[in-house]
Amino acid sequence: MNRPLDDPSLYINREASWLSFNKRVLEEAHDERNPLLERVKFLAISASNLDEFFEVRVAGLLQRIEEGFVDSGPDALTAQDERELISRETHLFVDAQYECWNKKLLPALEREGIRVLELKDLDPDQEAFIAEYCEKEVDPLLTPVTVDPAHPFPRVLNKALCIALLLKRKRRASGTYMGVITVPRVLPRLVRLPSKTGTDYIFLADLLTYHAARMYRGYEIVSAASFRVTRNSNLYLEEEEARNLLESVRTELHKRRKGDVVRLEIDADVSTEIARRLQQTFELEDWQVFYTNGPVNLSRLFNFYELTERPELKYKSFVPRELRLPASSSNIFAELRKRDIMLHHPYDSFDAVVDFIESAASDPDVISLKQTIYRTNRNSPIVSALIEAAAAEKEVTAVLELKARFDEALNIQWARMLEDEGVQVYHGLVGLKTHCKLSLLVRHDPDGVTRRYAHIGTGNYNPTTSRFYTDISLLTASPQITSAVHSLFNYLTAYSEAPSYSPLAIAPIELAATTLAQIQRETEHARAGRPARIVAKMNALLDKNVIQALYRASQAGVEIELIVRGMCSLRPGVPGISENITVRSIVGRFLEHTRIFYFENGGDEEMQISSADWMPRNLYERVEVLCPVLDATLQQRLKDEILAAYLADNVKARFLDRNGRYFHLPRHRGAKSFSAQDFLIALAEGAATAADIPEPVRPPARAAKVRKLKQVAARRV
Amino acid sequence: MIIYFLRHASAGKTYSNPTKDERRPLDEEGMLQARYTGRMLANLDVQVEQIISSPLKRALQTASLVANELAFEGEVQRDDALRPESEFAQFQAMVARYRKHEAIMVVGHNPSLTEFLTKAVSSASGAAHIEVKKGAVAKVEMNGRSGTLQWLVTARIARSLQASSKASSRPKTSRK
Repeated sequence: MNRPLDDPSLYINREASWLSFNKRVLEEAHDERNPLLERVKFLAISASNLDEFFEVRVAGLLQRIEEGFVDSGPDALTAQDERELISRETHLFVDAQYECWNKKLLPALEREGIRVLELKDLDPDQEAFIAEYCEKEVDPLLTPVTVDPAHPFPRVLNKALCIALLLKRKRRASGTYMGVITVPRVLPRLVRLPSKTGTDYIFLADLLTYHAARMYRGYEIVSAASFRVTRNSNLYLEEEEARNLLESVRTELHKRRKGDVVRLEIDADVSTEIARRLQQTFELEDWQVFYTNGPVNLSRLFNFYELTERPELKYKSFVPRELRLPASSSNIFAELRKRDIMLHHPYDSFDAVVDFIESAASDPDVISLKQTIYRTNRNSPIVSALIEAAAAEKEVTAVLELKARFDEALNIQWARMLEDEGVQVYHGLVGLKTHCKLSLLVRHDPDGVTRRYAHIGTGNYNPTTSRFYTDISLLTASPQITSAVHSLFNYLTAYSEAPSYSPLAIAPIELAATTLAQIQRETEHARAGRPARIVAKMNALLDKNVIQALYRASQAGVEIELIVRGMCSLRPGVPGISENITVRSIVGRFLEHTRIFYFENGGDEEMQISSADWMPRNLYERVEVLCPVLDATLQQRLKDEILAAYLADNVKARFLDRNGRYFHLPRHRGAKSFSAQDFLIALAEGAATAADIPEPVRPPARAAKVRKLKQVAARRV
Repeated sequence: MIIYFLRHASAGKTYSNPTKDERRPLDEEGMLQARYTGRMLANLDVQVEQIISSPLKRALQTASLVANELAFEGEVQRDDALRPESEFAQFQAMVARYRKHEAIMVVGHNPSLTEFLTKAVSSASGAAHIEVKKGAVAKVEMNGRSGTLQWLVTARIARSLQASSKASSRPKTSRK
């Protein structure tokens, strides 16, 4: 049993783990306890996740194979084997997606009077409607192209719906031609039809095949099929050489748009001739072609959710709790001088954070504002707050990450706009993404003292996503923390390293070392017989060093409970290695995004929030912040309310077993169902208290062990 | 600011009925012209932030084919200032609305497109003689209200330049 801790069999392959995460998302589409339109949305999410997986991970892997890289992860799977695994698993997954759509969701929607019709099902009114719709709305936007081998294939956009047609000239006995129509994104993928009986839709792709006959006059349409290509979307930046990061991101972004095709999705009933020509055109291997038994772009099923006004088939909306200040505090700054404030989004409204930042413009006593931006949304109040503050002649500094994946184009626009408005814009450190979420205000307080106030978050400054991502915000005037935040901004804008950022830990400087030291400290507590326990909640756990430290801690007897929503390379429950570790994943209504760390530390408990997962890219390649939660009331809330709720979840929690599989625990007879997210909503609405949280849930092996320990302890007493 | 002037590609014979003529599509030659012009621009690494087209079908189709080849993900804007009969003042007003952009492409018709191009690149006195054939594209760098013609390429040149590289069906730009 004494395996070395770097034995590859002790690590779960990253891509395999990601694929099983996406399976959990798809399970939510199957789960009949979820409202029907939410299930449709989960299917759409699983599809858009898979798109991103192909654009980034698969594209990167294929590129590594082509370039002859042989590097493998801690699980030692070769790139070729990884490709095999992905090929096998993604095909099974896509089949499962369409099975879910065709066998589960479509019939369930129909029972609710929501139908997706085919051309042959239309009544005369509907036929008249689509004839007019095609004429007026669709036709002016379409450009039908014929392709012949003598000319290059027309370019098709990444992830855009296209129709391929096999054509034959009428009145001439010549060969076949191919026709291609690319469908502009402005057209909706789902068209609502007039209906007397309920809600009827038709897929745009079906409309187009109907309409195609009119666009290709003089041709006979032998067959038609919709298809969609996914392209490599990685950015390749050689930053050290790039004099101007803004310029090089723009060029790369442009090149990304031309990236190689990595996947072709095509109607399952396509003629072999069309399939063959497309596969050849895009230079794809067989496994990169996916025949879909339904619409080629499941991610666009989001439209279903948006277009169907049936609130009873969606989650009940809830009102986030607003931050209320006691009467003794005239504003948030007065309150922060007395105590720290912690917000748990989306249960606590994000408005308090927006107000905090907006006060830079509206509060005449605020002198300056410094702000990091990684991802935010269109018409973001944060961006306007920066502009207004600059207009109010405050000193405003923004550290804007240009390379937030898929948001680069937006971020470049903002960079330019902010600069025009007088904001000092920095793009962070060359080679490191700025991923930490920080805001720092300097204010002349009424007592004559100039103080700093900081907001530190686990999530982005994005009021839209803050409605469905769970995140923690900490607002504080603690001089130690705000001074460290200030030093960190200096690091970001001037590359000037401070000797210490204590009490924060900063990646890439000391975050990895701090994390390892904390786990090691817990290991020593356990060895010495002192209380030792780790509870860590994050999105992904992949770093080999951290995993080894956790294995050693488990071997020493530290009780470790990990709540990892997505990828996890650690194998829990391996005898002699990780039997004291449990891993659970919660996938539900909200995207779990908080990073919370709890260390029992021999009885002197420590708690932190962080912008970083335990992943190499967070620990070594990004600027991240780990921040302690020092206030005793807030510590209690983190531990007894938030973490306790996640550990007691027996509805959405799935445990990881040592074989890499995730499973729901069978609930004990009589045990009430408890969903952490539902509980936290009820808590925010005042319909529940922390006392309603049941005992933590543990997988069988662990539960038996804990029982045994308790018996032993009882006997000793 | 850079403006690319693009004239719609070949679209057969004019219809006498003006409503019908507005809906006249590109012919097969025009489709090819637009694709080759688009590919040439892509090979030149041309980047535009907006593509604005006359609302007439042949211009919109030209714009959308070129947009695809450029991997332009945005929506092609329609503007009446690019109609065949519109005035230079309308064109100037339209350009002013887009002045914050670094590069735009305008897709239109003759006679107005050539007039706009000529007026944009010549000082008040001198009238230049420039021929903009169907599917041709011109690059003009604007400096305030007056511009400098950088180059003008016809669809025939765009196509013949690429005839030799036909074997590769797409540019492999993402690999280093």
